[in-house]
Amino acid sequence: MATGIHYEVPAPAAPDEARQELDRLLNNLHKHGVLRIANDFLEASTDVSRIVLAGANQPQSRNVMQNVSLLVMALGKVPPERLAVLSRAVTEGLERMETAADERQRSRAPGLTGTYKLLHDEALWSGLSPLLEGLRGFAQCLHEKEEKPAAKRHD
Amino acid sequence: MPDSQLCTVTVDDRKLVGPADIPLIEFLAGHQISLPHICYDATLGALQTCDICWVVADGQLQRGCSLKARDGLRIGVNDEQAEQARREGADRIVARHELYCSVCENNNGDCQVHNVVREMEIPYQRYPYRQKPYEVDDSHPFYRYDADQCILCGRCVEACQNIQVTETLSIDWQSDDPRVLWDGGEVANESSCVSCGHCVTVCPCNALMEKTMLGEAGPLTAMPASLKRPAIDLIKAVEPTVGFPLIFGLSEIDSAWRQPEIKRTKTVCTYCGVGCAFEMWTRDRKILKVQPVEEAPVNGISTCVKGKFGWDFVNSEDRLTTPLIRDNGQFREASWEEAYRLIAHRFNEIKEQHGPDALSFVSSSKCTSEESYLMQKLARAVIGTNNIDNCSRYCQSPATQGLWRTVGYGGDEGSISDLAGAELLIIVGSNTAESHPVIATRLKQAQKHRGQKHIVADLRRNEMVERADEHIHPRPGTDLVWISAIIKYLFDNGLEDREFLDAKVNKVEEYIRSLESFTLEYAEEITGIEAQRLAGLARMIATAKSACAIWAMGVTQHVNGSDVSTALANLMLVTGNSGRPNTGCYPMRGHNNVQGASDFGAMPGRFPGYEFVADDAVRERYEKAWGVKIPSGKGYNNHTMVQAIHDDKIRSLYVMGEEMAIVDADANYVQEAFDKLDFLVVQDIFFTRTCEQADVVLPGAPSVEKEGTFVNTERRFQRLYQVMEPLPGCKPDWLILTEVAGALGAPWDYQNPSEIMDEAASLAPMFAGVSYDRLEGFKSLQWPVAADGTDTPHLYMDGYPFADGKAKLHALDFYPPGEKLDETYDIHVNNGRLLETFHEGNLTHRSRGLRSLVPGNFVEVSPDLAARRGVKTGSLVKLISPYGEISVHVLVTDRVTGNEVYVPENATDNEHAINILTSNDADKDSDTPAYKEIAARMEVVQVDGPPPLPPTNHRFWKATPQSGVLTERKWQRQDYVQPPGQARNPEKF
Ligand code: SF4
Ligand code: SF4
Ligand code: SF4
Ligand code: FES
Repeated sequence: MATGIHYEVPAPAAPDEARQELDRLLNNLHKHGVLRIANDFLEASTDVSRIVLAGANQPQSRNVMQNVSLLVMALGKVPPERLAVLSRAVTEGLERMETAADERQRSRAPGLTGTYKLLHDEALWSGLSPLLEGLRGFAQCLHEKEEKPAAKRHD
Repeated sequence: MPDSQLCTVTVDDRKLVGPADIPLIEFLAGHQISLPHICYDATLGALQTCDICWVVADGQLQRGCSLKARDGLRIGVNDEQAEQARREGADRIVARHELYCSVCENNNGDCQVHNVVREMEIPYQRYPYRQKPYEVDDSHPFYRYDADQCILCGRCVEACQNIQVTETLSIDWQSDDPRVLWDGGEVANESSCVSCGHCVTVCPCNALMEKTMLGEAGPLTAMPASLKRPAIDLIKAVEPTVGFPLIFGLSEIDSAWRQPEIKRTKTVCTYCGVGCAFEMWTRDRKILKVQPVEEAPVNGISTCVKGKFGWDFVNSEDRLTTPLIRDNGQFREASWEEAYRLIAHRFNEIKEQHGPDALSFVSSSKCTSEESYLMQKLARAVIGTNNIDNCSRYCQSPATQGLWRTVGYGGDEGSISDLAGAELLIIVGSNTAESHPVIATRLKQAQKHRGQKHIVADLRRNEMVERADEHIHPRPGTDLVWISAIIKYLFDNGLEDREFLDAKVNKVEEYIRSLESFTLEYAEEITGIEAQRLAGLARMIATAKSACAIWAMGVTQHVNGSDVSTALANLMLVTGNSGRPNTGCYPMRGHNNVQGASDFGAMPGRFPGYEFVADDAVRERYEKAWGVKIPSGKGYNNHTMVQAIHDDKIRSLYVMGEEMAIVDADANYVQEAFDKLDFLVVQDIFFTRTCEQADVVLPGAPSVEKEGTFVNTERRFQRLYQVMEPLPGCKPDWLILTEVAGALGAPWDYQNPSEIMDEAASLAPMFAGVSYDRLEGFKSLQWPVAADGTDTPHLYMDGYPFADGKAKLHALDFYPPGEKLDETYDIHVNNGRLLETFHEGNLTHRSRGLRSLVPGNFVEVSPDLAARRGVKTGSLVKLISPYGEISVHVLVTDRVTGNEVYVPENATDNEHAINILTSNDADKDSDTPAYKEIAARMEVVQVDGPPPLPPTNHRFWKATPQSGVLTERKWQRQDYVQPPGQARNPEKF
């Protein structure tokens, strides 16, 4: 006998609290693109450096890194004398990333849980922290700027 | 290519040889010369709006996109004047379009504006960018329009006016600040827009964006708006110093960053028999967008609202993710192993007690062909019964029957291109614009651009009717009579194609004799269509050089569904409209794989490729391959299974991917049958009404979570690739079937659906040459497919698949509809699909956007009936038939007339589902339920109530048809200066 029984599919299982907190944090970072930037940068570093280097080699166009520096200067937060350090760091970072990326199998983006695992990778953190630090600085600078009314047009 | 089709074009003093008469842009691309262009598109043609593609041709500056390659053409691309003109064009574009690529959702490597400005190496912004006096239009549920970013290329307008032919969009070239308009107004969601997405797909920049992309496309697009604007302003502040290379350097980096995370997978739409293929862009399980591509064989850049925007159901929170077992009056979660063990145990037990024919199997026209193949193999080889069917029984079996009787193959004669190429279409009982939307676009195009004529027979004023050249409204269920009367008139007046009949058709004289009673006068009496009108239509059909017949459920879902299908095939044969291009019969297959489910043997009497189970030689072939004995007797079909359950002949049922409890006719009777079953297994992705009566529920996977093939209405195989992993806990249906067979002791070992296809192709001669390699990417094959891979875009070019190669006319009698109106049941309830919903709605109801367009079910009532019954839009009424009753809100509309009402299929519960009203009557030849024959009465429950459709629904708005983008109006503007002349206010156009 197969009389109808109603069944509510339960909401996806709730994780334990600590894990939940961490996931929420991760999710926020993810939502705001921070982790995506990091992940994507790692995944794409070969492409990115190729583009940067190709750009730098074009006589008529300015060196992209210089342009990035210009941007940072415009923010008025980086003293000009530190620019040399910055560009050296960027170049070195890119080179290292290129080597690293070549060694890694090109795999799928790690996703949220993958990222969670990555978070426990010390070496990765130390590699990423300057980048994240830079981003944080960048975001702060932006925060300090007054919002223009036009902003709402691109909500 | 023969020399006659080649030409020599001189380009900057180089002589280049290539195909003649193709657009110059394509010709040059063939020689690796990239002529910058934005508004030109292979599908849309030369719109001539962007002013970027200038060349000097025959001594004059001309827009390159407007030229075609021809012998003797001389053009200058590197000519200084042309270069200046192109630069001026590009400068105007960036005056209208702010380049903030790194934070733009469209910066994915395929943004045409970005690519052109970069390739042209535009060093800096010459004209300042100016905002337009319009807010971003965020009103539409699926896309957003930003006039500030719109370059007024008109692609969206062309796509809407001339590809989709809904004719909503225009550009007000004469206004002070031209922009894109919806029905002449500024709010996208208050318009006739049917959300097909063409405009968004073709927009060369981010002016029209899918909302699912917003903030999701790249690492930086996720930036909150409060940061985004300052970031843009910041970059714009440094841009005068550093020029565009900065912007492009950053945006190229950004675009490269996006690539690893954005996955683009080819898939095939699961929502109708048209078979649109496209790329789905995803990040993990997030669907970023559906991106149609030019090379898709069926649809090119086209989609409808469901295919483009209706996929969020796959991430719905109430997906089934674990097997369920009925236990003590409730369902409990179970492991796969336990579920399989229980199924094997109960199947074996029932088989032992009652024999194999006490078990039955229903495959799904939504699942892949490989899955249908396995379902029939499970029934035949593992259990030993031919009780296997699929839900095409509910829609298309009569059409197949009609074709088998006359022309031989149960499939559309030709391709969609044949429909588009025909001079005349006879469309009967097919709401093509809503049920097969992308095919409808091709028909509307042919009508609008090439003067194709449409004769449309329908009860309801749907879009095909509104656009028809001739519309007839026969009394319900009487199509056979008017079609036969037209045929008789043709013979009586010597208008038949005698030569064709003599050469290619049998049983002509016998058929003519059978027509005797079908005079025009008799037809007028039965159908209500004037005799003279029918005579006129007959002449119109006879004089058309090529004609196709299109039909759908309005024909098939009647007690005489097979006969009316046969009559249409007869008509095509009598007029010689078969066996040559642009002719033939085209029943519109409803679901994505209606064709494939039957093609691959999920039918009680046929093996894959339609070979008879009763044929000893064929059966032996399968027995040898599978190493089992197969019964020779035909099994029960979907519809007769229900009766067999009531009669205690069937004890167990295994339903895959079908909401049988709601979609079979006389749903109460079906549900009562399920109550009687000893054992019911339901495999689905949601807990459906059918699941409620199951003993075991197995969580399957939707199309995007598995591989396989679908066969569309043109008999075309297309491959779907796995877009994302199955949701944890779910399995692809082919794998579930493999494991169930394993639990029953069968040595199945399929690792991939390609192995299933290989097996089927090795056994069914009709698919001999089908393989995954031959279907790679966007490649496709139309059956029959010979072993060497040769396929058949148009059947019957070399005769018909009967012994002497001839088709046959099939004599018919008229069987009137089963359910007749009387004093108690005085309302005829028609029913069918809506554009925004799919079948009963288990998938589409879980798409937020689609649901917002049509929040619930309703009944369309004519103004006349509404006045007589004192109801209005929003009133709650009961529809009561002899079989049950439903409650629905009223929508008063002139789409229906008199006492004919229309209820969409769109409901998943007994309160609202149309099949509570349908009878158990069925087509006498195919057992397809006579869904379209409902007599009911209407009782008013409450006069005042909420309108069932939101006022923004496209059905309430009036389109603004025009011939196209009307670029000449832009040129007529006072302030328009032709490049290289400098524009005074370039941001205005
Ligand atoms: S109907 Fe709507 S979505 Fe389709 S092209 Fe027109 S405006 Fe765009
Ligand atoms: S919205 Fe239309 S006119 Fe504007 S850029 Fe996009 S396709 Fe062109
Ligand atoms: S539902 Fe049909 S027409 Fe719409 S996109 Fe899917 S296959 Fe194409
Ligand atoms: S491509 Fe020729 S004007 Fe736009």
